[in-house]
Amino acid sequence: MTYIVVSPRVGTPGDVFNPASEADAQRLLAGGFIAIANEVSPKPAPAGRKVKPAPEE
Amino acid sequence: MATSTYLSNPASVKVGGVDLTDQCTAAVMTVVYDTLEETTFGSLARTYVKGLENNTCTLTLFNSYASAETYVTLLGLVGTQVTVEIKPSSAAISATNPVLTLTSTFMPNLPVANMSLGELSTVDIEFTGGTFSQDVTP
Repeated sequence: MTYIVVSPRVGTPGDVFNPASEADAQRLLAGGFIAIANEVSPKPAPAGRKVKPAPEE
Repeated sequence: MATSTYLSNPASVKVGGVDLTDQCTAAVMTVVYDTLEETTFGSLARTYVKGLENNTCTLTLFNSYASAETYVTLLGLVGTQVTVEIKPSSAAISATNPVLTLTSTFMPNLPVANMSLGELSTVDIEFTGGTFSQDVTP
C-alpha cells in the first residue's frame, strides 16, 4: 500500500509517506493526514478526432 | 549574571510524527531518574543514587477539532506509547541545537474538552516514561 502526504504536519503534501507501522498508517489515515495513493492515475480519454461529414449530393 | 539567553520558541514539536508546533504554546521535557537511597549506618547525611529513568514531558496545545489538527492527532495516541520530539531552533542540528526525543513514552490521558467562556481552548498533555535521547548529528 502506498500512502501520500495530505497534511503538512507529517511532511510535504503530495510526497510518498512511509509509515513506521501499519497501525501508524491507519491512525494517520483516519485523521486525514495521509491518503492512499491511487494505483492508476486517472487520465482523461483522448478527444475523438473531428471528421467533417461529407456534403450531401 | 546570565551569559547566554535563549528565546524560548522551538522550531518544531512533534508528537507521534505529527508536527504540532503551530498549536503548541509550552513544552517541558524533563529527564528524571528514580531516586534510590543508599544511606547506611554511620552515615551523617542521607545519600542517593539513580535508579531507572522515569522521564516526563508536558505540552500545552491549542485545541482544534478540525481535520488533521490537535484533537484527531491526540485521540489516536492516547493510551499508547509514542515518540515526542522537540527541536529548539531552526538552525542545523548540532551540539548547541540538539533534537530532544522521548521514545516510547506513554500518553495516559487526553482532556477531550477544556472550555472557558471567551477563551481559546487549550489542552495540557502529559507523557510519562520512555527513553530520552538527543541527536546532535548535523
